[in-house]
Amino acid sequence: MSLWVDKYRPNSLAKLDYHREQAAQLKNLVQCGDFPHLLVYGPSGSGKKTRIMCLLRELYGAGVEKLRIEHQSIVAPSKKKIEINTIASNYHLEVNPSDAGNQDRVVIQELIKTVAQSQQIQSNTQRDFKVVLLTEVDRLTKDAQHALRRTMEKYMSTCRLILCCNSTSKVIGPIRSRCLAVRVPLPSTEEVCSVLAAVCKKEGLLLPPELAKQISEKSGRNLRKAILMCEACRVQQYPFSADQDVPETDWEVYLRETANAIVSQQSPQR
Amino acid sequence: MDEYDEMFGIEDEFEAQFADELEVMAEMEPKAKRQKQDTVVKKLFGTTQTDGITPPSSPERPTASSLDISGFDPIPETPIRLTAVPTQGSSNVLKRPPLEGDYITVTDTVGTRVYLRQREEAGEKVEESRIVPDAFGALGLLAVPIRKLREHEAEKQILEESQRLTDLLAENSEEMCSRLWVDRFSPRHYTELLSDDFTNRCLLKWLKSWDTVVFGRERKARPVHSQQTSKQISFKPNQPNQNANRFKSKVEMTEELLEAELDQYKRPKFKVALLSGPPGLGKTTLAHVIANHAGYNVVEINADDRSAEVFQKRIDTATQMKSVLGANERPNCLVIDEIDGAPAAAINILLATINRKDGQKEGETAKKKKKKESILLRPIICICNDYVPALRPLRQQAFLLTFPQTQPSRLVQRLAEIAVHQGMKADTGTLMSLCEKTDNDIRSCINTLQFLFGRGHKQLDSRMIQSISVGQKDQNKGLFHLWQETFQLPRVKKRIGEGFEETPGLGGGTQRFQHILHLASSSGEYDKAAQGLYENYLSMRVRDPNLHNVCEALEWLSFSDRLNQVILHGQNFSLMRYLPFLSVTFHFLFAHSHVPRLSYPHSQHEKNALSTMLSDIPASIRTRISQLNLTLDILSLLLEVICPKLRPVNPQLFSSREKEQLKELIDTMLAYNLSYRQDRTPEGQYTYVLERVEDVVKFPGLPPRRQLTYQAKQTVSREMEQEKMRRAEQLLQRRNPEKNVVEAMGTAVGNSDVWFRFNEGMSNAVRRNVYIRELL
Amino acid sequence: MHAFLKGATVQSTKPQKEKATAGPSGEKKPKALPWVEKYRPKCVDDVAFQEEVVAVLKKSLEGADLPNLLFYGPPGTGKTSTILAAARELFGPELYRQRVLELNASDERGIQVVREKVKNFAQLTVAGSRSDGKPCPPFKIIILDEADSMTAPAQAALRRTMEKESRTTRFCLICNYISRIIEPLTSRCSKFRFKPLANQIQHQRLLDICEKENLKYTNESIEALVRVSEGDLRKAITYLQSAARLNTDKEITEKAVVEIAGVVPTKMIDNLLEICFKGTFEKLEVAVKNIVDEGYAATQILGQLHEAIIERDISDKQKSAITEKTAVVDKCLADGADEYLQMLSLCSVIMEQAEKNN
Repeated sequence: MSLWVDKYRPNSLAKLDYHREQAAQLKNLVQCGDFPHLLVYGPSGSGKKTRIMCLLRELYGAGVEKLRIEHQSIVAPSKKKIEINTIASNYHLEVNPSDAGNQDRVVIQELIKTVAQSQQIQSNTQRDFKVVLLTEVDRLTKDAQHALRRTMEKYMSTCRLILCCNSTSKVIGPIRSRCLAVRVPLPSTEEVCSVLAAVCKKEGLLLPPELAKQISEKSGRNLRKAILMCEACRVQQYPFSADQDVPETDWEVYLRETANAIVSQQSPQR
Repeated sequence: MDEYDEMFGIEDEFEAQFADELEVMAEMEPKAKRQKQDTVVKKLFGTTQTDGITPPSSPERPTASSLDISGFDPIPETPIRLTAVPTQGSSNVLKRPPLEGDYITVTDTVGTRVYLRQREEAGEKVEESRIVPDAFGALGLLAVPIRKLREHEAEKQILEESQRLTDLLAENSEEMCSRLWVDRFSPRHYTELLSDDFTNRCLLKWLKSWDTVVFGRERKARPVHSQQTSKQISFKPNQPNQNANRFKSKVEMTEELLEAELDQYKRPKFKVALLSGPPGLGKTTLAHVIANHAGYNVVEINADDRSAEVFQKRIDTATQMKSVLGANERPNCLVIDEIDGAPAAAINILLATINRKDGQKEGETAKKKKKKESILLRPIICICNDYVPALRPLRQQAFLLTFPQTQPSRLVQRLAEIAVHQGMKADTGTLMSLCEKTDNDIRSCINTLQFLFGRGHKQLDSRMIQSISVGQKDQNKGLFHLWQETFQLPRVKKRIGEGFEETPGLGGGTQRFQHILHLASSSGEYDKAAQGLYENYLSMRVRDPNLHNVCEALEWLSFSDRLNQVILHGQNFSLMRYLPFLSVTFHFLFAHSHVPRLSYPHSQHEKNALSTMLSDIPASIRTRISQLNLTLDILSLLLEVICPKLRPVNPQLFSSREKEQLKELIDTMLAYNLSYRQDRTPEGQYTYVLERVEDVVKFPGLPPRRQLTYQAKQTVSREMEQEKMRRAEQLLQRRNPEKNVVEAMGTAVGNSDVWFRFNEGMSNAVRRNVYIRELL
Repeated sequence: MHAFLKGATVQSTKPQKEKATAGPSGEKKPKALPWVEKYRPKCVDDVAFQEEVVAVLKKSLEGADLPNLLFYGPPGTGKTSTILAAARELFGPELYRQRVLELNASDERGIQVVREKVKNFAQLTVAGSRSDGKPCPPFKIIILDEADSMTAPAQAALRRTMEKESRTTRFCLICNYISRIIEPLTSRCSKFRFKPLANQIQHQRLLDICEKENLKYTNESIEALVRVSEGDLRKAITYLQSAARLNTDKEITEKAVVEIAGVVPTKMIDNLLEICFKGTFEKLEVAVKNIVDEGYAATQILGQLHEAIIERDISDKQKSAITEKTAVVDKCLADGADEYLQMLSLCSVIMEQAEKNN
């Protein structure tokens, strides 16, 4: 747990660093009692997952942070066994159905059904529903998405879904119209800078604002990447200098160089 | 040479084999031979022959006399063999090879050679008759006339005997009708083996080198002795033979290898023999026959029991136990078939078994007796088709024998025998083409023959062979072969394999098309094949300035992708037949006459690496990352993060700040399930490499990532191990909290503060719980 | 998994008191029901805007025979609601369970299920009266919801069953795209197309709900709801409920509605178009990057851009070039292409066309 990304991740809605208005709205939603299905979408690194976990904590308390990994095997009607990993606490279950590849429909059908059909026996302390968190919904096959739509309505009373995806383009209309959509935009450059500064302060480091600016630009406003980059900078060189090299991910460098090679003038040497 | 042999009755071939066999035999039993000399002369042809090929050194009958025929042949066919050695009178003894029909070559000590013509019915047994001269070779007293005399005398007896046995044989063959010819005509004897002599001999020799430890016989004097004998023998009869020289060097080389010092347990240097070669060359048969021949009881582990535990159990059973019940109380020889399909875990177990001794090398001789049970004292023969990567560690410790292709001439000969035996008519040319068509696969040849026989064809000719498609194996030559063929233009040489469909005027296109299609559809693994094509096609040397070909190839890839999607989604498997055409297109787009350099597609490998990495990451972190953002965002930066600057000094000397840093580093690495693995480069240097994931984010042409120094990695690695142990212990303690450890009978050891408790009468009498934290 | 399912029972040591509290929470349940369910039409008469179907169903309620039905139309137009309401009226609450088999895409509906489950259910015969003496039609109804996601073989297996059991069973197929239903099935059913709801009817419904739920609203927000829902009443109601939940005790504003619907603010679209028509490519790149980074769905942007382009004052030729590109981009997005690149490609085409104008 010692990467800064993990170490300084906010764990309650109140502690979120940006989009505070939205955080307040989510808090309202929890207090209001009837919790709809959620569809959380936004680009990678905007903090969807963090927001969802905060929300769950708001719903159920600290218990949701006791996570465990479980291996489940689901038997498809064709007798084919599908192995899938889930992450679960006592109150929620996280699945990435696209892990199952083409068989994701079966996972959706069976898994949600089993979860949804089991009633919460005792409900004074908790909510009377459980949460199933489906990640990478945009990578679900259309079959699976169709299977999802009626399931969502049918088991509404015992089970709520939180769907998480990068873009709603690949989520079919019927699902979108059944969920409360929550858009999580990327933090602005300034917001990234302030988060970086806060992290460095907690680490007892001094971060020159120019470097913070540079990092946030290079990271493309992806907060996860920005914090990692910042830590990599720290490993490379400390104390920071304002104009030090910010390490980038290899694939980006590689793509850029390839692109440069394509547009650069052809010469006999090459 | 082949051509020559085919036409002239393979004389030289015989000669070469002859000499080689002789050497082995001589080496195997130098003493027995002396003892035999005077008796052998009186013996029948058939007797001496069996004599020569049976190991008199076998343990069960160390005193076996050469005269004792009845008792010492374990194979039930002994009587049949007798019939197989007919002599029809002196008219059959010729000074030069007969023009037609089968014959036996006999050479006496002076080097004169005679040829004995054989009767047709004996066809099947010609093989073994070839060995006859071996036994005679060493004898100094024989002269041709005497032998002829003997033969005359023997003839009568044999004729009577054979008459009796022909009836027996007839009965036998009736009941054998239902059996596969492959089984029926499979070699039961060393001399019947069709595979390359050199290979046979090497394996036999290797197996023999176990004699000391298995049967407890000394072979000290042998090296000197054998060399003498071998020289003596190999020179005289071989003088006219040029081919022998070619083998000579190889033989000597392997000899050296095999004669290398036994280790302190009197075991040969290599504990395992690894036979490799394409299917159908008779590897398994060879292993069985030779092991039997050397007096072992063959225990075979096959493809089906593959789990590591079962494997371990069976190895132990086979190598350390001995069957008590039953007649065959011979020592075991373990034959592991199809080892290339075994998982790496199983191979590691095998290696551990082999090397068990190495750990106890320091054990003194006094100790040895006790330990003896656990070290490997039985030979193991492994058989594989390909060298898969998992076998690499085994290869270094094994006696490697690669099977060459069977000589078509020998194969043809055997086929002819079978054909004759079954009353089929086939000339050499026909059989030759059959061999060629099946790529000299013995099994497939014989099966084809049987198939044709079963269909009622008694007369074989080349056209029939060409026109049937039975013999052509639906072989799975492996993906590499497919890719290779796809990216390479065929050489000008005409292939017989698919030649039967080709008409001369049609040009290569159709043929190539068919060939690739056939290959692709028989490979079956379309996904992998496509993946391999995709990852390799860009590195082909094809003139394509406008990238049209590349575009077309991409179109096709996308087509096959869609096809796959439809197939898998709708279970519409009838579309499956369109998949192999991808390879065909690629062939026409990219094939080049150069030998392509191919690499195995590694995307799957990378994906596996990622998922193994993910699978062990603790849940709290796991929930935040998916495979996608792990690769895109985290991994390459993470690798950057875990390379902090560490002073190259002992970690004890670190400042508190540095210690903090190291601790964080280890935390991170553990949290993300990264670890260093010690590896050896081909140059013999040790390096630490990050397990699994480093390749995933590596791109060619980019400056290499900054690495920690070897020392630093070593430090990190060690610290990590300790941290892991600490954590494991903490976990354990949390699980069973504070069991009060009462040490009633504790005694201090010396002046240290380690205590131990004495549990009287227990196997683990001295036992003490020591926590990791006390040691670190 | 098991631990998860049982998770709630971990501290199940206090038995009686819980029940008392569980009671009210059970009563609370109807309140927690989504409004879509709450305001689902209870009888055929409540169904809005689909006169033909309502007429046919009413006749059968009065005793006439019912044909096999095929409902199709865009989502949220009341297809499922209609048949459920009709079935409830036909059979009453007790018989409903016995007489109606509802299968949807979340159930396994391969050919095996059609052969066994559907056939077995179809073969049962039923009486022509209810337990309370009221007359009821002597047939059962099988509702195949989302029939367009059934495989072709499964649909084919249905044909014969449909004909053979016509004495005792009526089928009702519901789908969005009639083209996905095989011809033999469509010819065996009477087809009803459900139209997207007219704006004023939707408006009326939303106002009703607002009143019943005591919501504070502005007229603009209701209009915005009607606009973004595009004739899909379910969507409109869901959005309304979401907006109400997110802003408890506050007025539902147009902005909130727009945000919930994930609609790109008009300002942003206008800005983007402005850059397309006036700006440079570099500026365009930044603008597109921004709009994607804000998390808006590319399909949504695409639709709004399309509308804006249609309205815009450029020649028809340019419009058609742009719309053609829009179609291509839409296809690519559906195939799973990268949103940023596709948007950039579309915008540069717009830019190219705009330059021709000048």
